[in-house]
Amino acid sequence: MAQQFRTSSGGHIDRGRVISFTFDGKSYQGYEGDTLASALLANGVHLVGRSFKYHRPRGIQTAGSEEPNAIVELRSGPRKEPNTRATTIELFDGLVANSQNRWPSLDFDVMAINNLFSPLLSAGFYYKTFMWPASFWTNVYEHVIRRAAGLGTAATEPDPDHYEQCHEHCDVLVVGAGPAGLSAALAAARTDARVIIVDEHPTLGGSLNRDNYTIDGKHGSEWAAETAAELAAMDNVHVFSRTTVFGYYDHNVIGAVEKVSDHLPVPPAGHPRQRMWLFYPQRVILATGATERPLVFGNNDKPGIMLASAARSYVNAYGVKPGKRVIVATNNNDAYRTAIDLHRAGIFVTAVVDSRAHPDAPLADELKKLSIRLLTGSAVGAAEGGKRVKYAQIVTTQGDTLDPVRIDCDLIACSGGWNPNVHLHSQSGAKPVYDDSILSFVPGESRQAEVSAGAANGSFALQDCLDQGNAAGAEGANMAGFEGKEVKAAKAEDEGVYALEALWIAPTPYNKSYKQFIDQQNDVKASDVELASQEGYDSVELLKRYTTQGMATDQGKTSNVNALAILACQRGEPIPQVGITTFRPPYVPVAMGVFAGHTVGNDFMPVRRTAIHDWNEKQGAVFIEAGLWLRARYFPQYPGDTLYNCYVRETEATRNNVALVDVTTLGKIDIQGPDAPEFLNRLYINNWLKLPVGKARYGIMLREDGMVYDDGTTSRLGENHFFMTTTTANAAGVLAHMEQYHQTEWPDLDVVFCSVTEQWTGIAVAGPNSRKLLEKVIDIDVSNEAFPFMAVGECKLNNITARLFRISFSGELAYEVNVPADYGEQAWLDLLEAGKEMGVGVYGTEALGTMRIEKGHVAGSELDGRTTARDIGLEGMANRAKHFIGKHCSERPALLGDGRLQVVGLKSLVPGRNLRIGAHLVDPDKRLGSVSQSQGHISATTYSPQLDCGIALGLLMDGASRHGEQLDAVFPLDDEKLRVEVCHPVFIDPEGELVRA
Amino acid sequence: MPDQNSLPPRVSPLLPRSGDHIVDYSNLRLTERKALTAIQVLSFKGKNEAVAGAIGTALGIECSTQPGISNANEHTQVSWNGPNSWMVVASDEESGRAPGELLKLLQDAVGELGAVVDQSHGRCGLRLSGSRARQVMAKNTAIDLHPRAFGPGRCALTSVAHMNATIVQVDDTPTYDLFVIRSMARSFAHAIEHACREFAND
Repeated sequence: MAQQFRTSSGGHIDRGRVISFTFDGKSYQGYEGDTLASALLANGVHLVGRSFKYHRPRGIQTAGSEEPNAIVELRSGPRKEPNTRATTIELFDGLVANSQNRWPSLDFDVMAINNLFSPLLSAGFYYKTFMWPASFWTNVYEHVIRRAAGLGTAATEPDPDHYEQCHEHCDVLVVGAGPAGLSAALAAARTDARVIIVDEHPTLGGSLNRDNYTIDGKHGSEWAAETAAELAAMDNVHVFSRTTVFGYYDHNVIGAVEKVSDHLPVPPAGHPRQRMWLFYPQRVILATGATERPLVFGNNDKPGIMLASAARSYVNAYGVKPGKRVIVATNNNDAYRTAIDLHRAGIFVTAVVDSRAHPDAPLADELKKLSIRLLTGSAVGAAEGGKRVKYAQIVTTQGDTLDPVRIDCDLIACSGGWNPNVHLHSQSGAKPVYDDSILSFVPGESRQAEVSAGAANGSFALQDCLDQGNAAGAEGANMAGFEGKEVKAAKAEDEGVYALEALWIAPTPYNKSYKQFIDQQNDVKASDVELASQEGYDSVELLKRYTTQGMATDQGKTSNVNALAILACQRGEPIPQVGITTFRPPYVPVAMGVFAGHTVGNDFMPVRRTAIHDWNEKQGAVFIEAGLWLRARYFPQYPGDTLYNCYVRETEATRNNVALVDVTTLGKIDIQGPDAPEFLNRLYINNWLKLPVGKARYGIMLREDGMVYDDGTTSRLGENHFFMTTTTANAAGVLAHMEQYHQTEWPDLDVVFCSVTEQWTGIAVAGPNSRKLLEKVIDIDVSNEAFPFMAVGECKLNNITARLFRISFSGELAYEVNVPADYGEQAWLDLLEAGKEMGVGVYGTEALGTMRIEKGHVAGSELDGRTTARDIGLEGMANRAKHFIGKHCSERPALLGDGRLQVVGLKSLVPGRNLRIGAHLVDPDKRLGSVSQSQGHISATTYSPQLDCGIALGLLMDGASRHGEQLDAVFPLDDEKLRVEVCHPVFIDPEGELVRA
Repeated sequence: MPDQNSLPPRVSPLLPRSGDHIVDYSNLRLTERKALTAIQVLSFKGKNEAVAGAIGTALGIECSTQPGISNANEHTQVSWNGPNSWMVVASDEESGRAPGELLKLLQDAVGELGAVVDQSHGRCGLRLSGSRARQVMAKNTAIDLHPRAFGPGRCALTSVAHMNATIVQVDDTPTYDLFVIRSMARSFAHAIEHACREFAND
């Protein structure tokens, strides 16, 4: 029969909308408004999982996000989500869920044999039981144990859904929309403050939707709905439902996850599945409520044993009867309400078992009226049954006898008291303090702009919740600068006496040994805590790590205080002395995708494209990432054309004729002001004061520690106007370096600068025919006499105003043309057109690299942050009579002595073999693998078409004085050893005649 | 060969998306502000007020030395761009100025008081407008754009979709002008467009 455990009426479900779903392959029906857990219970399904270690049958323990047992694999294929709490999954049509950690089926799980071997699997078993023989650990034990223990399995395909991150600011943020939260939001909103209220449920109201309270003469859920509607209608309020605050960070930054589409089969077009919110409130009100803790007794993990509040939630909120014959076990007054609510729903409450000898419960009379049996001074000592509880052994708590009384039941609703949800308070940096009156932790002194209200503050009476919320909301708004006239909180009708007495572990029938679970998610028993304590793991932090209590998806929400209390009993100390585990984000599990947000796949990082990118793409260029830039690496000419073919061809075209390369990515900085020359003089090691207008100069700048930072050419465009270029990699860094020195060291210098990297497209025209090509399109005289090496000038390229620089990175006669970027592609096409008849080529970064190595120009691989100007052979440039950044540190004796790694050229002496980046340079004749001191390494390699052999630049100990020596370049990863000859790093045209031609 | 004095057309970094509305929903529009002139002005030491005054006089738009202020007339915006810097942005088409005219105007006005740097080709301008625009921005920037904290006449230099950008609020619709470096224009437009998709059908 479908949904035979539904009540005839009631609950916040839409009985008109039937929803079909599948659990472990079997089809069921539920109603809109159900959770997976409530729908399963409506169908009488209590067995929903197998436990972590012992594979014991487990049921649904809670009705909220604290659920330790009912965790399932939700959905299938790429959308599969393991370890999802059935108690928080909103039912949708076609939902598919499967139980976890069982084989071959939930009903018959062969690993349940672990239950018999449980003595081998006690606390810390990992560290002591399976230790012999040692070699078995990795090969056998770990493999088997990890397979047997565990949670769900992750999806193996990429997530098809989208996630995103959002930001929102406000004056007052209220976390939790129960009575305290709603009351707080309302009070704050009435002052006109910007208010955000966040709740994890689809409907605001918290406990008001799960309990039968009366506020202002209405049912609590009605009051909540009206208040929620009032809030939603206010312009200054932003209501977030289905949103869980998971983290409280510094500076009052709050992280939350909104489940935008989780209640739907698939997200609507354009909508994310989940959205991460970062809230920036002035004040935070934590109205996060409280979590009930279970009672610890024998076999307290059987399906059919749930929290008292959960049992009445299923009745009140979902119209589900979680059992037919119920025992309510408690140590406080609150659970009496479960007995009454269940009774009214037509469930037979066979007994209320109260551990207190003389409870003073206002509702006791009510029980009497309803003829519900009340056993005082009693507790459930143990539960019995297979895959569902069948009966309870009731023992006395007064120590007069060990003989139990048997009471049949199919549900035990138990309450061990309530823990205020102090997680976010703790995350904010504050320390919760122990409150003896509620035997739990309450918020301590605030460390950030937050305050707790209601149950989260340890105040469980409804009127207190409403009053505290009201006061906190008004005060929060007030502190954020908003005034409002005082409004009284709503009026509740509630007895509100909680009165609990400690019952940390129930006595067992006949004093027999039972498994008494504390942490059901991690299968941690009271005996494990006792064992850990006996073995010396008796601090709360050690206990957690030794027993795993409080780990995994529920983070011990239901188990922490019980574990702590039992540890305290063991140590014979009061609970406050034993301490409390520090809570850390996230409060609930959050999918990694939410943190990644939009920035996955192609959107992982922004891509920077030059103006010539599209042309490159049309030519079939192969690109390479250079920071965020995409640069053309080489240009294959036919299918199957190789990198090697391309760079050799492109290099030869440049060396023998003329070719273009896109150099837009170099950093460009415009520097102006009366003190611009002096500023440059301090940034660079060489002289800048006397650089003539219309000339460029190569410069080296150091870091403060004396190491080379960056190099490039800077041109003087006017008396007080310079144009600096940097390497692609350091473009932003150099600008920041300049800002730092200008702002902190030399604010007296009258100079301004800004990046103009993006304004200009840079095109190098290189090769012996470059002048011939330029003459066709440039309106100025580019002869050697009129425009010599290092000349700079303004010109027109066709009609585009351009800057022309006679500089060369390739070592050939070369020019660099800069044009405003929107004209970049046109300029490139114009240059190609002009060079068409002479067969102009293009080249990418690979050929660029080949030519810079042939020319011995240092680049990032040599300027690795550890080399000085002396190491790279450019100490001659430094003017040590002036001051410059890094001057003093570069004169440290250790940097001037012998043994420094210095830049050298290296030639492969093995015909046809190229060298490898990263190979170590060692004395020759040493056997590969024998101990030999590395004397340096290879930093950049290429095949040189010019020299027809493999060449490299390297950093070699005292390399400058070792030209002509032979060494071995060894690459142990590939078992490779190649004989090389050390030479001057400039392989071609050492006199620089070509560039000056 | 182009004729003697004509410049080639400016090529937008947003091609092939340039021109049309990148997003065109009933409540949301994302459009390129094409072929803008963007001039960065930086004041030399002690000349901050003088330069602001010179810009203001030259353009007839108040130029503020206060952070986060942007003033505009119907075709030209002057936005604070740093402690001693402003960005003057105009559409030549709307202002009727000839190419290079605004640069010359500012160079003449500022003279020896500061530096005038042409950034026209280095910035891509996008206009996001519509009742959902603030929600789209909330997905991409941590800046508070609520009317109580921000509004027309305000600008911010911040991170938008993990890229450095300038936000200038144009009107109460709200309409935002977003300026980003040219090389990132496509990634930027893609990120904003993606953030709009949720509102396609509302």
